[in-house]
Amino acid sequence: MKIDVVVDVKTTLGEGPLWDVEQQRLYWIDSFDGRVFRATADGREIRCWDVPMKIGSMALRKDGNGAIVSLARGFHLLDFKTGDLELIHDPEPDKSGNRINDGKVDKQGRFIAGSMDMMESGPNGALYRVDPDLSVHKLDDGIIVSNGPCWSPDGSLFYFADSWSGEIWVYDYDQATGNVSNRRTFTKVDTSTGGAADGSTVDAEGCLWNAQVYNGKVVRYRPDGTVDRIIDMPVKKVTSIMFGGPDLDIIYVTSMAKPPLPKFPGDGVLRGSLFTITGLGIKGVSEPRFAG
Amino acid sequence: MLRIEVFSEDRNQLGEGPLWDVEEQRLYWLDSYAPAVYSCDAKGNDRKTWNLPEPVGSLALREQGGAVVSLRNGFHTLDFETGAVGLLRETHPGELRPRLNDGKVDRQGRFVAGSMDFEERDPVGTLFRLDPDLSLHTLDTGIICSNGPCFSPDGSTLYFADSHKKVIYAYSYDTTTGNVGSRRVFTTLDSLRGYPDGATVDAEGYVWSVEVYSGRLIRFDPSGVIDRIIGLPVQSTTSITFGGPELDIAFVTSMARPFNNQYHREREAGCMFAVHGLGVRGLPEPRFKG
Repeated sequence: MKIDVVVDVKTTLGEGPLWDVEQQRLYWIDSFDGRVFRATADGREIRCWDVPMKIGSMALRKDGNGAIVSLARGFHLLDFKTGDLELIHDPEPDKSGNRINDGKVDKQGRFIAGSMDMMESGPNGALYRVDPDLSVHKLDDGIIVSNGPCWSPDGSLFYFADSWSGEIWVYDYDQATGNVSNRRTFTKVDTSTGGAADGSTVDAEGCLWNAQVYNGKVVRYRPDGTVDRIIDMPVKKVTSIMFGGPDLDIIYVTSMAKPPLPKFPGDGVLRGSLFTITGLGIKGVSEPRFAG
Repeated sequence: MLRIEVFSEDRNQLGEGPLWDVEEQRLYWLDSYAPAVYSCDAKGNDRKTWNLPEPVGSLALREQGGAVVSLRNGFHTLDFETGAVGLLRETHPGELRPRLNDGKVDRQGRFVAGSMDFEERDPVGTLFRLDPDLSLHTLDTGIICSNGPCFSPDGSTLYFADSHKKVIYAYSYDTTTGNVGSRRVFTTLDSLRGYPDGATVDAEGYVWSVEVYSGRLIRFDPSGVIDRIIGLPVQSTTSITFGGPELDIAFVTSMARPFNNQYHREREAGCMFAVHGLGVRGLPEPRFKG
């Protein structure tokens, strides 16, 4: 196993790595600085789109010419050619202390993303689903910080974390309707050293990978929630994770250069870099595009 | 391993024009609004300062010693022994809006520098070339804010940014005559928040442009595609050169007091940064032959 810096952009809050199989490109974002990045598997041919607000997540649209982006004030469509943004819907117009955070596309092409309390203290956030017809639906609420939505390979289980709950949850996912039910604990995340569950992805074997921010660890959980392996990363503030590359066997891990919570120390020269983990012999699952 | 350090802690109001002189093994740069020229050795020691009477946009060392400086109203000589400044060529006689800004010496020893609208609003700027015989030539007009002139390794392409338009142009450049031919858009920063400021070309022919108001170095391949982005500790980065004994350190200037009064609260705004470990070398900057 080998860990490398693949792009040394120092993202203030790197998030949301996303490999698009059709384009063979990696996308990722800087949530705090409001930027979308794209690069080849080896970190070249970089493109960058700056957006005027904090951004929590993104997914490519079906034609690949643009993306659905979760901005602080609502879901938007981003045109890659012009950089223009078009508002879909702001589900929380009266919650100025919230922003929309992590999100991902289900196996049917719906976009699921949750919001967070920017002070990371009150259960003011909710979980939303954006359907291909651009209608927005609330799936759950009472969340402090939404993170790590992802699905089992067959699409029937939905994993999701409220970072400060100390747990990753699993819901039954109705693939016909996109509704969730029967929320229960998938696994406990040790928060005793200040860490918390951040971004997640599920590999081809159905195991869930979670980036544990402030702990500097990437953890692989078996489908029953037990720990399969733990990888120590060169920085503490790892934020999210995704498989990519031509064979879907490269793990991309984002990180943050500046902690939003000042109690956590800095990560030195590697802070905010985009990392790859190679040589594990494990493959991911291709990410569907947003069908809208 | 990439390592970014504060090389000079002095906070320049508008740090600009970093220039590594291979012969002296010294770094030169400007504070456009001090206004002053500074110099130090590779370790940041043996600091020297020359004060100037007017805002300064760029500087080139002369083969015969001393420097040419681009002041508000034209090209001037600067005598490093006495500090005396003497007018060589006035660039915008009778006009108040344009002042000379960024400039660089071409591979043959001519000095190419452009002017900018003080108010950064109207296309009143011109791109000039000062030849070794001290004759002055106009290369292009209609520029709002001249920045980042630099040359491909073979000298046949002149890169040049109109910051306000968020465009970096590439001109075909006649190395024999110093005239420019066709101009094309090399790249735009349309989808980015910042503006193209100072620039340099490395030994591989890639263009390093400093994105001001966004605090980043962007390395473009010769076709204009982004190859690398390096974030710096402050938003108000302004210009770049490669220097040091191995020409492998990127020296990056910044400003403490930009015109729009943003970002000056950043603790290191206005400092000179040294970026080590990029794994890239620059090319020696020629001196002005006049």
